[in-house]
Amino acid sequence: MAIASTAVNNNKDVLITVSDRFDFSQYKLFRDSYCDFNLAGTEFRLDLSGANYMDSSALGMLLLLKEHADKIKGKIVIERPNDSINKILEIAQFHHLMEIVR
Amino acid sequence: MSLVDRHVLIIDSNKEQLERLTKIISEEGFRVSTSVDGMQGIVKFYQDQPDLIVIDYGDGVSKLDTCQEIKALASDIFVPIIIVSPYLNDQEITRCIEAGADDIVFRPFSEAIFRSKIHSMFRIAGLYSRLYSLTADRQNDEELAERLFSDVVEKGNVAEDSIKIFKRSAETFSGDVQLTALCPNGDINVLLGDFTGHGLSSAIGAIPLSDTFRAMTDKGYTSLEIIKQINRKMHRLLPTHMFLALQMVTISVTEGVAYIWNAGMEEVFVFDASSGELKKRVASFHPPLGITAQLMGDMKPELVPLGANDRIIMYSDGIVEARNRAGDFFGEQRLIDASRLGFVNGDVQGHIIAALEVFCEDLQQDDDISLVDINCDVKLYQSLSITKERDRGIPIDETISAEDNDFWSWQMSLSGNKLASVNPIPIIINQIQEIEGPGEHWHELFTVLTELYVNALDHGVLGLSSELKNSPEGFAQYFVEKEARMASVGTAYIKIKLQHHTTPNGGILSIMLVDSGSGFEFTPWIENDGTQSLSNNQFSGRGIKLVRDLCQSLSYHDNGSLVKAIFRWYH
Repeated sequence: MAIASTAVNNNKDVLITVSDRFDFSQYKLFRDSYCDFNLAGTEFRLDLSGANYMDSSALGMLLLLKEHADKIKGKIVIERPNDSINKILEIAQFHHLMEIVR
Repeated sequence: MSLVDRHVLIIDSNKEQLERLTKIISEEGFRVSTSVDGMQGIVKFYQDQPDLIVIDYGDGVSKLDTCQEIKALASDIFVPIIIVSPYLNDQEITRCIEAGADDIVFRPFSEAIFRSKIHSMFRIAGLYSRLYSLTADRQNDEELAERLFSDVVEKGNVAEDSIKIFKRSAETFSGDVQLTALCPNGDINVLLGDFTGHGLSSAIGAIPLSDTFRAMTDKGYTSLEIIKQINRKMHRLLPTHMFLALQMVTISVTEGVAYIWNAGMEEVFVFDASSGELKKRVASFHPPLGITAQLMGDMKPELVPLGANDRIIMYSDGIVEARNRAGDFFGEQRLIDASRLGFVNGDVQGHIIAALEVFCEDLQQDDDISLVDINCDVKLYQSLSITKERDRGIPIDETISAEDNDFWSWQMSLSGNKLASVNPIPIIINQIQEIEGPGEHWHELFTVLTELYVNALDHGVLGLSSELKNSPEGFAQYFVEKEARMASVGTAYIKIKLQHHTTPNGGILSIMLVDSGSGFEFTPWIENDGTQSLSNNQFSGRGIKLVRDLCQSLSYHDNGSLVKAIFRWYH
């Protein structure tokens, strides 16, 4: 499976892992991975270490996740993007919008 | 298509068999036409345009040309063919399928099975025709989007000889926008935008984008103000997951510099074309527009002094991300190398596109390719704004009495923080156009007002020395210093007063600016001999010379804190 999510701490820490390609074809899977976690203050960690490609629609999907997290006063952290994905995030200057940990 | 409208053509040389097949199919409620030989069958296929064809090869399938020919004639419309024949071996079945048959019924057959095969074929044909019409719809949508971009959005671009735009849309339309427009003072704005996504949805922002860009450029707003407004519009308009990455370059003809913005795009390159040196790379320094309600607080354009040989290259990620068969990207370095070759041989675009084609061979690319090549020799753009020679013969008395009824006056004062946050010039130009109607001559007035206002602000209120602007480094420092002083202007003010008298063929506008500063060294500028051309590297002093050229008269009073100018315009 290209996208999986696991939750600990009574559903307040959600780890989402994305592997292979992170693009529009993952739209539904990605949405399903977080939309049921609605507890106030939930922290979503998105582990990108297994992903090797990301396009601009995936950036749009990150914005949707951020919108969801903002709505429930939670936060998102992007973790371990590889070099090419990090470059995409850098060009888009997404560190202004969300926390990115290499 | 309803059941009764469906039309079946039966081709059968055996009359008895033909009658039997006709009976079965008619009983299902389909219209039937018949033919006793292949040739006549092809003619009927033409005339009757059947939705399904049954060919009876009673003597076996040694000749399949009727089947082949009908399939070829139907081309991309799916018309199923059912072959009826005596039992066939594997090889013969394969030949039938290759000839275009969609199903085969062996004799003897049960009527029930034959009937269900006909229905099953119609079901498949229904799916085909639905797919066909969906594809056609999508194609229409994309053609519409392309037309929208080329006709509505990109029509009206300027300076095509000096700003070369190349665009190749991918098969799936993906929303790159290239726009150029002329500012009232003769500066040029160039915008390259890339909307998220593909297809028609990526085109929804294009019209508001181009409208905002053109209208605000036309009224003389700064690039910061234009980008702020575009961001606001896109934030309101685009859904959360969509945004607009954008590069914008202002070629300032009067200052000889470029202001470069980059929000979420590949780097903008500034080359010295004579040496091939890559002088400056402007990387993205802001997220794409439309994501946040307001821009990041400290967003400023990159300021690059321009030489006459400089070239700015803007491009979208479609070029650097184009792939070859090995899966490698075209990448930045190949783009830089091809640009350099282009500078030597005079055709930058041609070299880049040729290099790209050699690299990708005939591999289809799935993103738009956009390339903008700006020749930065500001002389090329001067002719765009100064379109006509001025009548300079008649001296105008400054104290024209208001005896005519067509007189109006207007004034505005700005003080304190408003000096930093409001640009009064577009407001004034708007006012004048409201009263006197639009026209080319306001471009010159825009330059005059901007120069006078900037002088009052920079030298009068802020006390900045224009000496600083004599070198490229100083130029940047000047702006840093300006910003610092702007933060503590206190009760300083600038007052602008306009008086307008109508003349038979136009009007006379007297302009007065007063500032709270203690005056500044204005004499050297005024006395600078107008015939002596200013050197390319001299960044200061051009402004006042230009104002003097454009106005009927120009005078400084009170040590420079009061300036009066008379601007005459003609219909």
